[in-house]
Order: sequence, then C-alpha cells, then structure tokens
Amino acid sequence: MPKTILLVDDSVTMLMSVKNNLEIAGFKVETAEDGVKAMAKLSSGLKPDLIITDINMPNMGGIELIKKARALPGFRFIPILTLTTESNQGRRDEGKAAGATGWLVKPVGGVDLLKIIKQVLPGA
Amino acid sequence: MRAKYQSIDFKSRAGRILCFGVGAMLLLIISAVFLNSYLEAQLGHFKDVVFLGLATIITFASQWLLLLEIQKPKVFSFEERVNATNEKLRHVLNNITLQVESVFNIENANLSPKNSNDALAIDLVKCTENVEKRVQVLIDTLQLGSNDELETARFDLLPEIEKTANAIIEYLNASTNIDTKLREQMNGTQPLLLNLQNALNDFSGKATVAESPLLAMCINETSAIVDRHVRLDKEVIQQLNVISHDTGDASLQLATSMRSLSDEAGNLVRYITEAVMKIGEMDGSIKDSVDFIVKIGYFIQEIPDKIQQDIASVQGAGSVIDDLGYLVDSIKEISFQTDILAVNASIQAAHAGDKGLGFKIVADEVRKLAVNSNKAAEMIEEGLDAARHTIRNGLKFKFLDEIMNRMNEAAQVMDAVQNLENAHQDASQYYKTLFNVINSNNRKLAADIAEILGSIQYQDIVRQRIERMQVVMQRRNDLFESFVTELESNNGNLTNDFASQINVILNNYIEDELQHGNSLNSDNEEDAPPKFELF
Repeated sequence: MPKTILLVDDSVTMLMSVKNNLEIAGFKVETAEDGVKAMAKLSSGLKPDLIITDINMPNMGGIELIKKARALPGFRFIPILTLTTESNQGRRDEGKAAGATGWLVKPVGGVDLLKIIKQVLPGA
Repeated sequence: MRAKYQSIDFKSRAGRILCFGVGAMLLLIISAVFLNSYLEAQLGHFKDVVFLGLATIITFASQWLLLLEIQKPKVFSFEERVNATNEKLRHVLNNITLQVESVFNIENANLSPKNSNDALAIDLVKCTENVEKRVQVLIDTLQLGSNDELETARFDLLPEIEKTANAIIEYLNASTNIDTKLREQMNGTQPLLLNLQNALNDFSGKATVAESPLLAMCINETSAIVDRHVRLDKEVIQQLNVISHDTGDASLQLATSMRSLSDEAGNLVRYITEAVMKIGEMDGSIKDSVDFIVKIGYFIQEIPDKIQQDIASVQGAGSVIDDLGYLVDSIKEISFQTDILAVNASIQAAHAGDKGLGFKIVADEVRKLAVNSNKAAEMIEEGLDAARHTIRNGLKFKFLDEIMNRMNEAAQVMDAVQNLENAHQDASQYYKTLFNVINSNNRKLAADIAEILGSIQYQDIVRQRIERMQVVMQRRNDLFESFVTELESNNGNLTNDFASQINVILNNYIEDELQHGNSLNSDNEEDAPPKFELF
C-alpha cells in the first residue's frame, strides 16, 4: 500500500515537478493549489501520511494551513513539511510554532527530497 | 642662464619653474655678496639702502623671468589637458555661480569682491610704477661718472632712496591688502555657496512656471522622461510575464517528458525482469528436455544390443520352423499311408459285398481325413516356408553397419545437446549480467530524473523573483507618477521627499530578496540558514 502525500503549492510547475518525482518513487500524491483547497480535501476525509506545503499562497498561506490542519482530529502527529523560497529564521520560527515538522527551501533536489521524506516517514 | 635652463630636459613644468627659481636665487645671493662689498667701499652708510633697492630690482627681474617661464607655451599631456579642462570648467562654474548670485541678488552676499579687487589692483599697479621709477632714478644716480659727481649727488640720492623705499613699502602694503582681501573672500566663499544652495533650493518654491520658462521646460522634460520610463517598464514587465509563462510551459513539458522517460525506463526494466524470470523458467524446462534427450541417447546406445538379442531370437524361431517342417513331413507321410490304407480297406469292403458296405463307408471317411490332413500339412508347410522366407529376408539387412552409424549419430546428438546446454547457460548468465547493468543504469537514470525534476523548481523561483521585481517596479513607477503630478501641479514645489521614499522602496526590495536565499550561485552559503531543517 503506497503512502499518500498531500502536496500544496500555487505553482503548477512545482506541483508537476514534485508530484512526478514522488510518484516515480512509489508514493500516491494528492495536490491542492492553496490552503483552502487543501483544507477542503482534508475535511472531506483525505488522510495523507505526509503534507508538503508552500508558504506563500493565495487565499490561504502555508502557516495558516498548518495551524488549521493541526486542529483537525487525527492530524496532530502527521508530519508536515514546508517547501518554500523563504529562508529567513523568522519565518522558520513561525512555521515551527504553527506545527511544521521541517522547513525546506526551494529548490530541493529530487534525491534529497526523498531522503528527507524517508526521515519523516519511516518505512516509506 | 636661460640657455642652460633650456638645455635641461625637465618633463614637468613645476620642475622647470623650481630650477629657474633656484637659479635666480643663487644669482641673487652671488650678486648680493659682490654688491655688498662694492657698496661698502663706495657708499659707506648708504650702502644698505642701495643694497635694498638693488635687491628689489633683482627680485622684480627674477619674478619677471619666472612669469615668462610660466607663460611660455608648451605641449600638454593628456592628463594636463584634462586638468586644464577641469580648471576651465571650474572657472565656468564660478562664473555661473556669480551669474546666479547676480540673478538672485542675494542679500547676504554683501561682498563686492570685484570692485575691491579692482581698486587694490589699481593701487598695486600704481605702486609698482612708482617703485620702478624710483629704482630707475636710483640706478641713474648710481651710474654717475666721477667721484666728484658722486659726492655731489650723494645729497640728491638720499631723498630718492627714501622715496623708493616708501614706494616699495607702499607696494608691499598694497600686496598685503590684496592678500588679506583674497583671504577674506575665500573665507566668505563657503557661506556664499551655502547661500547659493539655499537660493537654488528655494528656486522651485519662489519661481513659477509662468515666471520661469526654463522651469516649465524642465518639468515637461521630467514628465516626458518619467512617462517613457513607466512605459518602458510596462513593456519590460510584459516581457517578464512572457518569460515566466514560457518557462512555466517549458518546465511542465520537461516534467511531463521526464515522467514519460521514467515510465519508459520502468517499463524497460519490467520487461527485462520478466524476461529474466522467463529465462529462469526456461532453464528448468531446457534442463528437463536435455535430461530427456540424454536418456534417449542412452536408449539409442542400448538399441544394438537389443537388436542382437532380437536377431538371435529370430534365428531361434527359424530353427523352430525347421523343426516344424519335419513334423509337417511326418504328417504328410502319415496322411499318405492313411490314404493307402483307406483305399485297401475300400477294396476289401467291396469284396465283402453287402456286408462290407459299412466298412467301405468308414474307409472312405478315413481316406477323406487322410486327404484333408495332407492338405493341412501342405498349408502348414507353405506357412512355415513363408515365415522362414520372411525371417531370412529380415536378416538380410546390414544391421551392424547401420547400428554403428546410428551409434555415432547418437553420440553426436549427445554432444550437440551438451553444447546446447552450455550455450543456454552462457546466454542465461549474460542476460542476468545485462539485467544487473540495466537495473543499475536505471537507478542512476531515476536519480537523474529526480534531480532534473528538482531543478525544474527553479522556474517557480524565477517566477517569484519576477513577481517581486514587478511589484517593486510598480511601486517605483507609482512614486514617479506622483512625483510628476506634484511637480506639475505645484509648479515644481515638491512637498514630499521622493528621494527618501524611493530609498525606502529600494531597501525593502533588498531586504525582501535577502529573505529568499535560493540562488544557485549564492556567495554567502555558509552564513545562510540551512536549506533543510527538521524541527
């Protein structure tokens, strides 16, 4: 049974790039273009094993998405990684406080991304 | 002295002037020594005054020569021409400054350097002329012929020397005044320039477009420049959007192609995996077939012995048939004797008349039996002959030669089977190795594809940079437009500090870019936060 990853980013390029990479590695990937659509999927019963989200997105950003996802029942311990162009410490602290598991700065090489995912998803 | 100076090849004008000055100084000192001795002997008490006058003349002469040297035309180097041009520019700027002063009629600038300078210069010229006259008179007096005349002239000379000294003092005072005025004027330059700056700053506030066509032209020109600039930026932004869009499409196509490539590579590996598995299955099947063929080979090798056994059995059957032939002959003999016996019995029955009728019947039946037995014996004999013939024909083949040939063929089949098995094992090993190589290459290919897919993320980074660029350009253009609007509406009087505002935009942009440390060629990677951080 492949692990499911919810990928949230407003860039179609990012979605295609990361989605293909993860699918080639054997993951099942669900995508959403902003935090609102991601929350809609989570609220409708999607229970991913991992969430990877951008920070700066229209409608609902990554920090808010993390906070709202953590508030959902059963999402307290699901790993959530950010994948963003922002690298300053202040934003990292915001992400950590919101409940992010890790902070990744774009671009992340495909092999590196899989290594990190294996760290937060043992057995993947 | 001048010829000597000209023979010296000094490259710099300053060096030549210094050389000339030193030469003049040496000449002055030597002249002073000799003149001092001469005047000591000739004039006694008046020698100091005369000496002072002559020293003054010599000083004037040396200064005059120095001026000639300074004004002498020369070939200027490029650097000197640049400096000269700069000097001219400064001169022009000074003139402009003066013109501006006169235009604005600055109240605080109450100095009248021009007038005071002119007056002092006139005074100085007068003093100089006076000194020259006095010195000339003094020289004429000193050139008197006889001692008597000198003695008579001594009384005339004294007032002349006194007048000359006064003229020199007057000249020196005039020079000092000029120097003082110049210093005062220089000290006053700075506040003058400050006043000028303030006046220029107030220019836009005091002057109006109607009053100043130059200002109107400047505003119009500024407005046109800003307008073109904004239009240019819009064109650039449009092209940046096209770039963002095109690179996005290309990235999606690349991602799709990479995915397709990965899928094809995966399919290839699956095919090869299946092929290897089938080869494994074929291994068992081929081994079974080879074993079977080997058994057949062994069976074929055993056939000659079996044939020999069969030949022996057939030959045994021929002997039995021969034995049966003897039995048939015996039966035929018995049948013949029985027939003879039956005939004799019939004859004897005929002799007996009616009483022998029953016996005759028996004799006839016995005869029939004898005839039938003979026919049966002949039929058996024919069958035995046919069997014997068949056996003999069957044993006529060259069994041994054919069996040997078949044995050789069987041995060759065994070798062929062994070669086939060896070739199959080699092929199997080759395909396994090939599979491992392809599998390894496929893993590398998958890693490369993953990296390429990762690199596609740069398109998103570039897009975001372009967006941030567009935002800052828009902010700047808005500010430019406000600047032009205010410039036009307030006749050049600006109430907002646009320079500070644009500086704020610049600083915000720089700070914002620093928050996004994701360049391939970032110079300060060591100081930057880590790219991966697990909390």
